[in-house]
Amino acid sequence: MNPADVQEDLRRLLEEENIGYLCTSDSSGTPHIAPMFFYYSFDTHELFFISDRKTRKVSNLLEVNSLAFTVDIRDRENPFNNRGVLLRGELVKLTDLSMELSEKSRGALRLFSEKYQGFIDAKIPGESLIQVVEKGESAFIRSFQDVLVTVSIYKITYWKGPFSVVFDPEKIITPP
Amino acid sequence: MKKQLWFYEKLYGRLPFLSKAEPTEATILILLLFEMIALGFVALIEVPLVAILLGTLMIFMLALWTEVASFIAPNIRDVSLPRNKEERRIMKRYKELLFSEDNVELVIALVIFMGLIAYYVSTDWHYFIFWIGKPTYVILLFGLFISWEVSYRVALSLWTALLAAWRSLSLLMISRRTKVPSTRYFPYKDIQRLERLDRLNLSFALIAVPLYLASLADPFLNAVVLIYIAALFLLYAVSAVSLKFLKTLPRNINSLLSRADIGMLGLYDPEKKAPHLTPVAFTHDPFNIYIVTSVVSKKIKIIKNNPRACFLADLKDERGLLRQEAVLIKGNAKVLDFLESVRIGFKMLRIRRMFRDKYPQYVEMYQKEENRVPLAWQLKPFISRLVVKISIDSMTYWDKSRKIWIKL
Repeated sequence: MNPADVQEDLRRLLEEENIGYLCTSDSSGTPHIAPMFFYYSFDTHELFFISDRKTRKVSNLLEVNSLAFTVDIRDRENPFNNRGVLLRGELVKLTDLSMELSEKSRGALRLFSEKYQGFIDAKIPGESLIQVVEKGESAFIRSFQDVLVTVSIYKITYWKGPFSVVFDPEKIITPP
Repeated sequence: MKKQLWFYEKLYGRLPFLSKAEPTEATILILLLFEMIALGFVALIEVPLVAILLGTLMIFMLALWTEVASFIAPNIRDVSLPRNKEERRIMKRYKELLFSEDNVELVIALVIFMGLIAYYVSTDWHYFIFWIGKPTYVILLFGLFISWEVSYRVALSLWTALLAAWRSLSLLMISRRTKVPSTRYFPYKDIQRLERLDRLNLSFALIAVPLYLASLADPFLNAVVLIYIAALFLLYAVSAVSLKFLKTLPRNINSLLSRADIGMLGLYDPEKKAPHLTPVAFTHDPFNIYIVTSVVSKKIKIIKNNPRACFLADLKDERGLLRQEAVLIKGNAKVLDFLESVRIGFKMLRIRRMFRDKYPQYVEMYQKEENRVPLAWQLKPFISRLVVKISIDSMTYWDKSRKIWIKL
């Protein structure tokens, strides 16, 4: 497969697919999988998702900080068209959404809510998450359990049918 | 907890020469003891040859019965309890009733025995006279003793079968009620063992054939024996059918696993201290998920170091992002290599057929493209492809994830 096609398909998978699968593990080595909404930043090679702090995935990440994240497209008829990407990364931080957010977190949250417009909303009557984010600091007052999870990605595996390639996220060519 | 015993186990446990013997040895000892007493009578008084043969047959039957019972009892005591609350309650109650302190089987035996005596008396011991001519007190006593032994075993087998039928039916009813386990659900894996024990209990009916022959002379007793055998078969059938239906996953989970083409297999690599996650083709039966992978895949390497596995199958609904249906399974993975496949034999062939049935288009494509694909993808069992079995420990099912509200 030619490298430009791989790059293009990889970008499409991470930008356009809505659901990815997160695999974490507890300290005893028992894995856990969860389907997730996600946002991948090609600028910083960071993966973002939002979760309740009390979930298994977050408690697992606090025990074992590495994770695997897979986004794939399936073809019922032809296995040669099955393709996907496996991201491997490490937890950078958990950002409590009830606290005042940094400019960076707010930026990630904005991009995240743009991707899932209509599916994710702030629980404030009559306002979308984007509106709340845009309003800035004053909106983040009530204390709840939600956290924004930031993960740095150190290795990417792309496959299509029997073909697969592993590379460093820094090698992804960002188009001008 | 105090070990719960059947009455005869307690009794035998107290006899000095039996208490230390292995169950089978104890059975043989009892067999010899009974036979010696019987032959002693024969030496003392004149008994028709038919009666001697019949008596010997009955003693053998009793011994065989004891042997079966002594195998069933510890096995039922060892059956594991299910992890789901309701199922657990049923199995606990089942064991309690079966090995109750009140020895219910003894009460039933006494009722049957009293009935027998009442019948003997009301017919002027006609049955005894038919076999041994004019009975003496000694031989009458021995006849009654044998009658009691038979009554006890009939009672025990009926009680066991009745409880088994009740247990299986209750388990089935519970499983029908819990269609959508929204919390963790544990499949009950000791069902195969229960089935085996039920079959063993049925062998009481087969051993009762001499009883049938011995009662041919008396239409009433003959009918009672036939009813007994029929009752055992009926109760067995109720239990067996219930267990057969119980050996399925909850309907919605089964349907989801059948419809989903691809599942996600999550593992944890203890060497690299990192989780691993890949889409896999899979098939399933009520207790396991099977996946096929390449011999050289990372999955195989990880599973050999850490068998803990997580498996997720989901269906994305075209009508919307939030209409997802999914099941999350946790369990242990095992690579079915060549030796393991030989061990499980035909089951392996069945697993491979399940794959061919579920993915006919994949198999066809692989065969057509055989020359183009790398060896790891060629359909060569054991050389390039291996089956991995994930035994299901627990399942969580969910339908239609809700819209995500970020509680700002």
